[in-house]
Amino acid sequence: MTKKKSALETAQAKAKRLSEQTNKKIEELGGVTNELHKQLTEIQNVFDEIRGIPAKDKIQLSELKKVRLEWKHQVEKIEADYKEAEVKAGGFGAAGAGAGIAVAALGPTVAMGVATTFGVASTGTAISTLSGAAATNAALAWLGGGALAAGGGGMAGGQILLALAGPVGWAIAGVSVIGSGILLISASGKKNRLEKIFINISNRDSKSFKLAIVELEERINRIENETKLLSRAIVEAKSFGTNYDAMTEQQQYELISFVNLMNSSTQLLVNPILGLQPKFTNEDLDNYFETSKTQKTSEKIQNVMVALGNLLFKIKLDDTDKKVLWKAIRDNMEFLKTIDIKKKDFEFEVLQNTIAALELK
Amino acid sequence: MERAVFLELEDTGNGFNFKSSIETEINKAQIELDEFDETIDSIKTIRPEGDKIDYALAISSGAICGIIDIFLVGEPGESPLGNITDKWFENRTKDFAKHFGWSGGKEGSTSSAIRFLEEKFKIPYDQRGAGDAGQYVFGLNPTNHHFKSLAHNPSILGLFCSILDQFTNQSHFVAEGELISLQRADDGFELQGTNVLSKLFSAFVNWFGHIISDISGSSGSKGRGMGIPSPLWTWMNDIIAIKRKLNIEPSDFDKSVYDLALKMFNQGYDIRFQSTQAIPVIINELVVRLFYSVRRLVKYFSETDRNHRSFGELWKKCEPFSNATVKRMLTVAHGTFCLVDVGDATVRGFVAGGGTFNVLEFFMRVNVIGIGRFTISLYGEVKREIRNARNSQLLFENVQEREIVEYYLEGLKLLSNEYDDQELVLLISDFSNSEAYQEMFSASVELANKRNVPQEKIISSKEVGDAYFRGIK
Repeated sequence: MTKKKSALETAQAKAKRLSEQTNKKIEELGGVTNELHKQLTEIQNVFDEIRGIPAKDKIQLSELKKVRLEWKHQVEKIEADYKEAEVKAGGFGAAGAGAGIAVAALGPTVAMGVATTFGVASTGTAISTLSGAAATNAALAWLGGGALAAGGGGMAGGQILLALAGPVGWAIAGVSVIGSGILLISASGKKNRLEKIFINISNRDSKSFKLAIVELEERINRIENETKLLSRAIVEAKSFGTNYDAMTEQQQYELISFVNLMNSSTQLLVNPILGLQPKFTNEDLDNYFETSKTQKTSEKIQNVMVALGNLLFKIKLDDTDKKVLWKAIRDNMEFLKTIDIKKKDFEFEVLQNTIAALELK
Repeated sequence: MERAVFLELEDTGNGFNFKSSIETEINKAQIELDEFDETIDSIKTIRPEGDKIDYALAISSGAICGIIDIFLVGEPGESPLGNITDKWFENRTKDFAKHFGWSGGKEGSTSSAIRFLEEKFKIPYDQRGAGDAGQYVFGLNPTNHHFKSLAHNPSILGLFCSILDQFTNQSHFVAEGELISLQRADDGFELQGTNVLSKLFSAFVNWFGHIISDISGSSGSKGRGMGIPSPLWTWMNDIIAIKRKLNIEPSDFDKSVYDLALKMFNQGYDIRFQSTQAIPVIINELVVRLFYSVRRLVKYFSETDRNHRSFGELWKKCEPFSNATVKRMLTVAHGTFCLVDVGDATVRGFVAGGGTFNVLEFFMRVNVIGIGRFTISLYGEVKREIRNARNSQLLFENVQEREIVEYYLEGLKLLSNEYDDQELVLLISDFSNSEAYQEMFSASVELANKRNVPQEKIISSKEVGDAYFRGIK
């Protein structure tokens, strides 16, 4: 017997479908990054030769290379973390209700796409608001959500990932967990309100995914173009010989332009994808505590606030909405267990302050 | 609604795909946003915008009309305004009689006009309970026969009974919880007309003419006489009659309301008095609407430049009919009126009862028209509040959804700016063109800036580039 889908289910299904599309795009992105990475390394070698830097010192000398190296490391770290997570998830799943949920294997291509999507923390730049660990967590939660979505794992699987992924993780994948709790609430007036809130959240997520898909398309497009461009540039640069002073002014200008081009193309690997950035971070929260002169809360509560901030970003609530949502979260024992706080610690203030912090942002 | 994201790719001939999907998405999002704005604009919550003076005026009007009601309407028999309405009804009766050929003129007595009309509009159900067939009906007498005789009631059922009685030569009465019909009520009666339709018509005319003849009392009555009962107080007759026809025993409540209404009628509470009661209510209504209009009129003329005045706009600003402000003022005015009126009636009820509450006195005094008008106002207020509550919820939901679309649009605009680099890449890719190497260099600097390459790594001049390649730090 098929039941007619509720508005919330429709909105969630749409968000899920878009998240799957996003996942596909991330994989596609990963597929093209490797070639770009190769070209970037090669043109750097051409430059290094002209600069007369011996091959063994190359790694230490190029600042820019560091960025790429970090990207590469990031890719490797994601792969390693994911493997570890997979093991943990397996154990968790066997013990809990979600036994037998398949976690998709993570290939190197996907890891590269993920590293690019979430940005690589690079020294001295503000290209990413994510710290390395947070990025990995986010990426894992992200991928986990995607893989589970594909496998139809549903709720229990989502929770496993939550347990793994930490605050940023469940900010991204947490909607379904809190969302599932609302179905238990019997009072239909409250249920309606909560459903509307979660419809809005799902719609916002859909928009974020669309934003990400649009940007990923652009990014893939750029990477493909610039990979070709770089390979032509390599041929051109090689034809100038290795003696910089013997080159014509035009050749020198071209060479310098290629350095800028190389740097610019490198950013295609490390600039994060806007739609998938966390919307509310610990920095935003610190900023709020500072400007509003509000008492800083415990670290656990801060994590909850960051998660709530991401959940409620761009979601307008009236006073009744706030009360209803707060009670729904407070009464969702399973969720509280996941985020490891006690019912009495989750005061209305926590939600109020989070919303105030969001307004400040 | 589900929309797939189509990303258009176009080959420009250089091996590059430049067609931006961002612009398409921006356009779509902008349309979506505009739709929300339109919806949000179209959802109106109607709130009264009266100021303190408006409400002070409304309260004053209500209070003054309440005082008019207490002292000038009062109750039948001791009502200065009532005397005027009685006179007015007499004159109308005479006018009506004159219209049908009565030759009494201005000086002619009312009773002669009434006698004329009674002859003119003959009906079979005019038994008064004294010396005619009506004496067999319980308690029927000349003072109450207009009330007890259904066909004398100015209601739909009254009209129906009148026509039925004229066709069948019957006479229907409601008395002490019973429906009584006299058969062969008036042997001298014959309904005019040649076919059913014309008989129906003349029956209707007879009913109406007879009611007019009785409205100012009967031809034989002394003093004020017994008029036609108020339709607001005869509905219990209808209920009892219908219940009896359906073989349902009328309840005690039905009977006590009937008794009360009958007692009130006996004390002169008839259609004339009911009309008198309407006077302060109508004054209240008119005064409030007038206040509203005059204040807006003055404001319009003081605030609008002579050249910009137009009647259309003036009317829109001043018309006292279709806006929430004047309606709220009326609610306040009629509410005040009812407060004064009911307060007075309650006090008099206790005074007349000598310690206990005299229900009859209370209902003789209470202005039913005022209460009815106030009820209509209240109903309107409730209706508007419900609609407002629903609309503000709808408005909020639209604002919520709009916020999300706006977030999407802002994100797209950021992307549009960030990815607006194809011109630059084209310039750089043009390195084989020997003329343009300077432009190519500036384009590369600009691209690096756009891509957020750390400042210290951007080579922004030839000298820095030379230093980079010559190995000088």
